[in-house]
Amino acid sequence: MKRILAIVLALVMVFALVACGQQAAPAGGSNQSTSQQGSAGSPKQDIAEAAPAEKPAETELKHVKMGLAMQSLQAAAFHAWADYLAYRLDYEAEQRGYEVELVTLNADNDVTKQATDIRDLIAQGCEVIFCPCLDSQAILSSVKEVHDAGLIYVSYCREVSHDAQGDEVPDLTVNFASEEQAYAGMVDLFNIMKEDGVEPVKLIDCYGDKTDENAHNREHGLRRAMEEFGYADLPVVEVECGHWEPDVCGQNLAPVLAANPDANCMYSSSDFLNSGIQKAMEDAGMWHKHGEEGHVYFSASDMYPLGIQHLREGYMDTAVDQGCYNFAVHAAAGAFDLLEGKEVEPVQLVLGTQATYKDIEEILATIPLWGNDYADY
Amino acid sequence: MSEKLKRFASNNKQLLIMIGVIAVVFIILSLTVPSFATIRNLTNLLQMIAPIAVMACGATYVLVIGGMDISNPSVMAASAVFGVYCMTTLGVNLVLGTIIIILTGAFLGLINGFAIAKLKMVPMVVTLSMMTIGTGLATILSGTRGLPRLPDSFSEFFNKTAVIIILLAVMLIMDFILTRTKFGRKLYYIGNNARTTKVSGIDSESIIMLTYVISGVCAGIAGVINTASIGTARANMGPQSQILDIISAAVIGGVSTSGGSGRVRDAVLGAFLVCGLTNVMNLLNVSDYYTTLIKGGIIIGAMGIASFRQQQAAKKGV
Repeated sequence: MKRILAIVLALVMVFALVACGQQAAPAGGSNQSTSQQGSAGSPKQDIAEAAPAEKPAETELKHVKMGLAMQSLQAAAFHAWADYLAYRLDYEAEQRGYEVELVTLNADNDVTKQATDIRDLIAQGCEVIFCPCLDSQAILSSVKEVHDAGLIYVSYCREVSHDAQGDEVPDLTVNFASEEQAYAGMVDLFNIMKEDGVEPVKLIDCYGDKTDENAHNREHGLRRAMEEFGYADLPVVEVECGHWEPDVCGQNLAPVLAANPDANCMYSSSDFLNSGIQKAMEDAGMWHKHGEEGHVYFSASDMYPLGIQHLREGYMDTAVDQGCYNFAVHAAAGAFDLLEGKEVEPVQLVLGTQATYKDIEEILATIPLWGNDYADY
Repeated sequence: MSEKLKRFASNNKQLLIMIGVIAVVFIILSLTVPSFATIRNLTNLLQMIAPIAVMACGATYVLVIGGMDISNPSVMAASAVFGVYCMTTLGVNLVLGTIIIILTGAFLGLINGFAIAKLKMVPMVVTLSMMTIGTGLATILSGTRGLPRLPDSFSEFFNKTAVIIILLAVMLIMDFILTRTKFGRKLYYIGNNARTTKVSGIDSESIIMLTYVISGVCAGIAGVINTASIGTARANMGPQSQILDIISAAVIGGVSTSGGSGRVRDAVLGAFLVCGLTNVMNLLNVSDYYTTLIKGGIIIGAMGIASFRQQQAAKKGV
């Protein structure tokens, strides 16, 4: 009886899995109801574009399987990367006479699982593998494995290590113009400080992740802006934030604020960290809106929903959007070009929209920001 | 002959059930999922299972004595990071580096064992602390930008074939020790009744300590396998949630959490079921939103059946 029960359980398991596999939502389906409207890069605009007169008949469609090895789905931006990519792949497929099947796996922040996931995608016969790598060095073995299998590797929203050589170099990298993101945001911040007649005394730098090339690039952008404004000698107090962990960031920021009450400006590699930053600054009595006494001038990259909110409220002064939708636009087009044997620009960097506390309302009314698509408000 | 078969079936119920379930699942998946029964996928699957299965072997020893070791994933990551640190930063050669990874696991296991056996500390608290220490150690040694990569020869040596051989060797040796040696029998005695064991003159403290060392060695071996998989080592290569896979592999394989029963061989088959689930869900393109839910549900269901069977067996006095 017990043995029969065990076998029945196994059968139920397999059928449940098969059923769930078939129930998987069609790629990008949820994005059809996106709030983005009208402007460049809007999915709604693409729907209009995707109605050409000579659409290939369904029987002529070439089937292509692609894989997305996500590093995690814990942040809103990661969902945006995955959702927008699925949507744009469908769009490109329709334009070019393909039928695309996208398999998405999630490594859940486990670097060895990401390597295993990529092997699974290869085994499944995916012809193109997109991957926002968890670790820019550790991923190089996987890039080589993809190339050894004769497949295409697209480094998506992340860069692999600059040590990559030969088969370790991705066929296409679509990433944030992360250095420019930080640079542009800090230039805006220093200009606002100048307008207000405030001289930077000390800068707090919340360093998102020391194993992520984007965090390093943003650090370069920050330094470039400081040099350009003649603040090369400005004291900088660095706060380590684990692997983009808001709670770690907040915990590490608290003693830094206590030790540096004179700091009057701050940069954060990502406003994803803002929940931790806000808590630490509130506890330190340093969380004030622009124009209020004791305001710490604050710039961050990405424009997560909370970042947008902080800009609107004036706690944050400047920010530069991640441009998630444009990553998907470039990655999907590049992947199909590579599949069709066309040459592509191997590294494509995307700079998002710049915003300040002054113009955020106007931007929200005119430009579709990813953070708005994934906001609760 | 039929008498012998009957005896074999009666002595190896758990094994036969596990093989039956795996065979049924394998056949169904081979018929329904086109890319499942391919050499590439099956070797991928074995490579993925290997580290969990090896750690489940160590966990089986610990569970058999009635203990608990939840530090395995962190010990694995810490050992791997320390070994890779020695190889890449201190210039230690690859062979010695591999030995260092395993010895580091053994050393961290020894600390666990000493605290539990000699200082009489609670296993859960000790290994929970070791989990934190292991993660901290790995993070410190990884440095801010992560350790460099090892030469390709390391991953080439510990390739898929080597990993499968390591898994089989660990399973056979550890199962043999547990079931065919005096040491193994002592582990079962301790798991059944630690006090009686002490009275009967068995040095249970040393045996408990050695058991945790073995568990640490297994974590070290898993560290070597994972290091070969990514060509370097990272603090986040052993997520703490992995302990669920390890312990559930052993329990689904019939290892009792209250000690005194279970076999390494069956725990490895349990690892096949637990880790196979991830691979199968990947192949079936099950949305990630459902994956963890389904996996957790199946593990709870399977562990529930295992627990029910153990209770029934206890009632019958088997």
